[in-house]
Amino acid sequence: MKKVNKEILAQITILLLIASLLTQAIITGKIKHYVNIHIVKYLWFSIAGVMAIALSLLPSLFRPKRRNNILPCAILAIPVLAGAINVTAPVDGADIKSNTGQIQHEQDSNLSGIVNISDDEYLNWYTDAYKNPNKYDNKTVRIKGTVFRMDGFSSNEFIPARMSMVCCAADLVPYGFLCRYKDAEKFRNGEWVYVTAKIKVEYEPHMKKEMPILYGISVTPAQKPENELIYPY
Amino acid sequence: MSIQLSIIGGFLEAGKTTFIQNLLKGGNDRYSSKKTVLICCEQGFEEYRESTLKRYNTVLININDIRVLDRSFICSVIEEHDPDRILIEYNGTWPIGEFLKIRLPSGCCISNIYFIADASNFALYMSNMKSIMTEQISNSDIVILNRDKSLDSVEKANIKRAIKAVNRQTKVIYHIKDYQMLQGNNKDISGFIFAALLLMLYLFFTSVKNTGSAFISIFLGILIQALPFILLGIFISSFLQVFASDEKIAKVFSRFKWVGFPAAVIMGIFFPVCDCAMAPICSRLAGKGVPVYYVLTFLLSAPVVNPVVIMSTYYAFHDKPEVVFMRVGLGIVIALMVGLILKFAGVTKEYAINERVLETPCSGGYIENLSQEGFIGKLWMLIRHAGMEFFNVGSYIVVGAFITSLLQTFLSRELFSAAGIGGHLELLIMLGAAVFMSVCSTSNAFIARGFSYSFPTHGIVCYMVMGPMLDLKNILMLSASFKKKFLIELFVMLIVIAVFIFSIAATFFS
Repeated sequence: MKKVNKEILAQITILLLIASLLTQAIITGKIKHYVNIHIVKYLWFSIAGVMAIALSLLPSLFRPKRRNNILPCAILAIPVLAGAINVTAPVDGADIKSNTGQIQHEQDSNLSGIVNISDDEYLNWYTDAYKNPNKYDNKTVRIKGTVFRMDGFSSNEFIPARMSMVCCAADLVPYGFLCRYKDAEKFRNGEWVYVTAKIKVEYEPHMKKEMPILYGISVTPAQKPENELIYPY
Repeated sequence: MSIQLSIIGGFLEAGKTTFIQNLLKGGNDRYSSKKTVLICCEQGFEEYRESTLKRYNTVLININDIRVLDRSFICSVIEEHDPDRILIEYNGTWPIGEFLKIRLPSGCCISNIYFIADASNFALYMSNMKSIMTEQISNSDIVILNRDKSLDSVEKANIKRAIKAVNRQTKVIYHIKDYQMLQGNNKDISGFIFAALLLMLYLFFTSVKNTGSAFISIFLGILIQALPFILLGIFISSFLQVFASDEKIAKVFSRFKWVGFPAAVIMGIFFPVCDCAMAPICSRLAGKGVPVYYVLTFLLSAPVVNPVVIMSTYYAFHDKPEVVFMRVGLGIVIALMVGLILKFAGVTKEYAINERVLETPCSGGYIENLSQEGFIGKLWMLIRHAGMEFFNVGSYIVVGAFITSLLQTFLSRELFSAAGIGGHLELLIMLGAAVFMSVCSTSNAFIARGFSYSFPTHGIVCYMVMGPMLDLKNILMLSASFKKKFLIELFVMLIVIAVFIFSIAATFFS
């Protein structure tokens, strides 16, 4: 058996772990909780780059060195560890997802005169309503979002919001309009709800400007959409 | 019974034989009555005297071929002479890595590897026989410098720094006479420390995960989105290193006089990459001899004139287009101010950049003697070089992202939107946000929009402009090749300039 350069061995191990965890995250779709889906195509290039570096290290594997500097590898092992812990996390039950479409479909047929905003349409609807609020004045809509509250909200106020990711998990911002509903207190933060509401353009005290405000007609619990996050770009 | 093996390397006439004789004579009680085998791979000017060898119970074996030196040779030596220690006077032209490949018999271990050098001609050897010399230095535990009488303290310090640049862990010692035999310290406790650290982090991550906090997602999110840009950056930087000669690049820039500053700003438009990619590129440019003030102007203005950044700012503030103009305009002003200040202050490459980039061809020390001939050889070198840079830069960005995500998770954004803060405090809070919460130049406009409900316009622009310049993880990445002292000065200068510029901007907007 030949002697192995431990530093190179550690480097190759780290690189292969990075590549395999990334590939796994992309294939299982977990990646979209971390970064914008548009970055995924660049990540394939990154995986190729990381693999190329690992390959280039192979010839040095059997050239031992007196002093091994393992510190950079140990530091890079931190995100690998974090990724390994998070990837093995239990994924949400698949049955919930398969139900989603059905429930929506049933309820769609029962409603008339209401503009139903589907999960995929939410982003376009939100940006359009944000830019041209008057277009939606006095319309009744049905949207799905998570319950989001900020400091200073009254007990009947919440925002049915979708979290939007521009770049990565560090810049998650809620996209949604203020909603006033008498039983708002019943819903916990982070719960997914269907909100059927009438839009009125009014002065919004938290944003300090004229904005659409939802006046809730009914709020019912909903299933999580297939893509929890929305990606503006 | 363990056999201590020491290797004494160094070029011909460096003083190896004298050093070994001192070792034999040395007042080290442990070996006074014990047997030594001296394997000599090189016959120098000075010879071992029979009487000396006999007095110190030493057997001398001469070898002339590196192929003789292998496991079976060492085994036969041990069997025949049963020594307590083995000293090897190593040939200065043989790579020590060859010896390290040998699997030593059990009970036999390397206690120390010495590199003996003649200080008076060290610089000459370093420039002519760089690869063999760096190989030997990079594998040594102790470097001993002889004949240093003719050198002044500056020259001595320079040699010491050059050695440390190749091998940071080695001990450098002048004055062979004062030197006492150092005992080999082979206990590698660092492995245990790392294991303990990783265990702690594991516990930390699992506990953080169970509380449902976003910490891991933010931490990994920052790193994953940065990964393509970092790789792009290090591949461009390695490309510059391998394919572009120092003279060519420096020449292009030395032709510009004052035009260099606008040129550096305009160059940024053609690098539509995230600011994370800029650190390795700029380190390389500075290492190649491009004046530091141009490099800094380029580094600071690139995230501002980046077309992707301008677009995203426009999207985020489509109702306030003046924000876009302020961001670009003030950003360029600040980048140029820093560049001009550095030019007038006469900041040189030596002042700003670590020797690691300056004096050795590769930032991480020694790469094997790869042939750089032909396109394939160069391509191979490029990837190998990118790999070294990956580990060099990568560890800094991990630390930066870790701190940033800790602060983002546990200091809530609501803290930053606390109402009723007035005057200059707002600006300072935005600068704090720029240091710790500037995620990425292409997306920080959207975070800034979140601030825009509780902070005035000039504060938000300050956050967007200063973010990529002051971002903690970027600064940490720069410290892989720039000197810490210089970076601290730069950091302070940027904050002073920012407060100055944005206070003026505030009077226009209020």
